[in-house]
Amino acid sequence: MLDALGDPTRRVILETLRTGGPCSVGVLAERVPVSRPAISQHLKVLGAVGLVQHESRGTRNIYRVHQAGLDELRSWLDRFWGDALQAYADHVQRTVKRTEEERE
Amino acid sequence: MTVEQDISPLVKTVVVPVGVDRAFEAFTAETSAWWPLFSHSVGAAAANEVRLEGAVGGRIVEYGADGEIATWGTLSHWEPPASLSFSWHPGQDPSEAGQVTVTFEATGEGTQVQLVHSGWERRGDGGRARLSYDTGWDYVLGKYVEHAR
Repeated sequence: MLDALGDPTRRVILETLRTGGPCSVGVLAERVPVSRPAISQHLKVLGAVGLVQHESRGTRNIYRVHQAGLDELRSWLDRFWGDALQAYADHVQRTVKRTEEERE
Repeated sequence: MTVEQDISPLVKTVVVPVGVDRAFEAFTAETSAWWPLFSHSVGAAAANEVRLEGAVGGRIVEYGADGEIATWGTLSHWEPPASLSFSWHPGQDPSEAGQVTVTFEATGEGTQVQLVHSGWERRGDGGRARLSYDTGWDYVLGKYVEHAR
């Protein structure tokens, strides 16, 4: 998922879908300055990691942001700070033990 | 039609069995001793230190053997031992920075440390900036994923 977002064009596509709502490749091509085949390729990558979903309407595919994929991204951030704070608490705990041992 | 945008702040708390003064000191002056640099840094294996310059306008800087690797943020509030706030943009453009506030409060068991990560709603584009923020983590978190494997 994170690799998928390493590409700036893919971030723009995702932001466009997020702020503008679901749309087709044709509409995306009008809003994002890359070719339709390139957009299709990027959508395939975003779809593979669960950040974008699509449904068929007649001959067209309509693409939308997959909220669960974004939630997963948020949970990464949550884990990031969780890990950092746990490491902090462990450090404080270690220094408490050291101080107690010095007293004994 | 727009997609629902989640701009709620991220809140994390931890309780440490020491007084507020000690809790603040460990957090701000001994950061390198506990911060998981191998996974939570821009330089990953190259990073060997992180230093927080304790004053308003001070920076949080990641160092490697050859000096500064990255500035993670800048302190906007410094009130030892009660709280501190800083912008947060490791590995990304400072204009897309989030805001982190850490507060230290005495409890029966020691000190409760609460970290609130917000700031995307400060910007006119709301959730959109938030998304930029999230995606700005791809490098740092990518390293984390590599490590976790």
